Amino acid sequence: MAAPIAIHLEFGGGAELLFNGVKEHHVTLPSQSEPWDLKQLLVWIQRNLLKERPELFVQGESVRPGILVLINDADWELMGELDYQLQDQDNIVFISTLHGG
Amino acid sequence: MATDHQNPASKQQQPGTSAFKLVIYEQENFQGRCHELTGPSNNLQEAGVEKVGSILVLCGPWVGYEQASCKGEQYVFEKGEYPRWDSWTNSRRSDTIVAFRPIKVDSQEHKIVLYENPSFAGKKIEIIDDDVPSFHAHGYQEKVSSVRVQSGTWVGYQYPGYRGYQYLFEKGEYKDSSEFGAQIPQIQSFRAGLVGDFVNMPILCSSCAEKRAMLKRPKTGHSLCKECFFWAFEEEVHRTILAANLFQPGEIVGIAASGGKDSTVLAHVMKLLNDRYNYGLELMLLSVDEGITGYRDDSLETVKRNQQQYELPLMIVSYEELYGWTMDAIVKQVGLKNNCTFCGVFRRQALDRGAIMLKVDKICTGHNADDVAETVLMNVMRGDIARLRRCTAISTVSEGDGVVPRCKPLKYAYEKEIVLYAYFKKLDYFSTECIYSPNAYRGHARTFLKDLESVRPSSIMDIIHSGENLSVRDGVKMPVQGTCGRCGYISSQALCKACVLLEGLNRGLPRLGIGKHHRLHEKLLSQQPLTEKEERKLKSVDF
Ligand SMILES: [Zn+2]
Ligand SMILES: [Zn+2]
Repeated sequence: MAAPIAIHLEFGGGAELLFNGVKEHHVTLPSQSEPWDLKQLLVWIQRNLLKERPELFVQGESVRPGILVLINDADWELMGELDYQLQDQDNIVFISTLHGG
Repeated sequence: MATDHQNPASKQQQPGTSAFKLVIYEQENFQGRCHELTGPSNNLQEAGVEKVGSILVLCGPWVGYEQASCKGEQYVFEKGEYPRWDSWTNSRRSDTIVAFRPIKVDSQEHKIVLYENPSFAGKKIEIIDDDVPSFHAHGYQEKVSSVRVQSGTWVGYQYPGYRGYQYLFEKGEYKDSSEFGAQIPQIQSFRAGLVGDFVNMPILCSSCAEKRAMLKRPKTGHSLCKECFFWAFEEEVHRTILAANLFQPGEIVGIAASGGKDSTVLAHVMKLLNDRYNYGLELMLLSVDEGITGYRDDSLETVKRNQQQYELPLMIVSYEELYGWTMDAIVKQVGLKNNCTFCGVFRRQALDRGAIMLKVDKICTGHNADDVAETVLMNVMRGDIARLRRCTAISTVSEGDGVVPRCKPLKYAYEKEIVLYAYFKKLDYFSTECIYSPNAYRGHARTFLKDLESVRPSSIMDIIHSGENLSVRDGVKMPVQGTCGRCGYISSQALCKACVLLEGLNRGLPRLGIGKHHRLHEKLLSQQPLTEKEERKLKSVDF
């Protein structure tokens, strides 16, 4: 069993609008048999945090194209994207590029 | 988990990905049924694996165990091919593997202390960062009964030269030999630090090869650290400016500033390049206040902060001053369906009027590569040949008295890079959607473009390239540009769009500017009254 992990989520660039306008969330992911990865985190966010219009945040099992993901400040494309295994105290940032100019 | 992979080896493993991946084949030489593992398995037989014949490690390291629940003899696997049992062990005691788990490798340093007796007693030896092929060279006898791993991941071997039984040591304490799975306390060689192919192994910047890469550039595929990215981004804008000869020394340049990401980055980079390369430009910020409570007033606060941060003069022109109407008032009259038409037409003119008041020579706007590609697509879909031909141009020449030349220094900058530039530089920008057009960016063209980009990032540049190289066959009818009979702004009709829209608002006939009512322009221009029938057609607000 993997122990529960505490992570910090941040939504910006307009993505926070889908989360009641709240930009920062400190959350604890429950313990489960396998380590948490980003793919599972997205499902968890959808079930527990996302307030409206899920199609503006997720597409298939990934984020909607146009939403950037940073894992501890690094582009998730360098970190394995959906396969990234979350560590305790990770900081995950979602920035929408689709809002405003 | 059994999966049918024809040829898992062809699956490209990206450097730095976090996925542990190992493929088990039931027969030697990667034959027979195969099973993919991405996480621990305590009992392979229960998972449907009959026998472990050969192993392919795509992303590791892993440790395999002779018995279920990670017990018995251990076998350490790093990335590579293991065609037969003798490629992962030479102990010859057993050729079965029943359990597997990935090994976490997260330390760059390696330090381990070995003790002769249990409970960290007796003679000890400390090893830092080094492989030890034989302890004899260190003057140490072979007995190791307890171990303290201060950092790193190690593998101990029963015999010199990394032979015999293998024992995995991870960070922590092993009080006696049974805790590291040995029946006799004998270790004669040691390998320091397994190297992970994965997770938290930082990828180095491909430019400086020193710092940790923080982003992958969509345009080039390069992985760069923050500093190298800033430099590359700024230099590309600089080269765009030089190549298109966008500015001349001494010019006054108005930066169209909305408080959003693009114009905020544009203002920052223009100011920086003007200083770095002595462009000799006089820069100022030019903003339009559409009169939208709760949206534009907030974003203008951002622009005002930018003004102070960049020490640039700021000019704000408002719809209310220019047209006598705020967007709030316009929406009250026209509703939410065509309000964006009014806003867009008015904004274009407002920027020009503001620029003329400021005696600005040129306006630069924050349009980025994604915007330009999107416009190309939109114009293709609408069959708007005239706009299609113009929309990829990096700058416009002055088309008339009331029109200030415009340019797009960020034309080749990807939106992703603009957003990350702003994020990493902690630039202050405003990102709320306009309250009157919550769907403005949900257009099909944008979604389509983003989908394309996620499959192939170069799509954006390719579309721009296509747009730039389109040529319109002779004989295709183009609208003739003239000037507005009322305000003098460029127009292909007797009255410009802004004047028609305004006339409609002022006469209480909001539909006037929506759709085609060109034949009425002469009447409006000469202040003639409209017939009752004409009025009725233009009055209804339910569009
Ligand atoms: Zn670098
Ligand atoms: Zn006009």
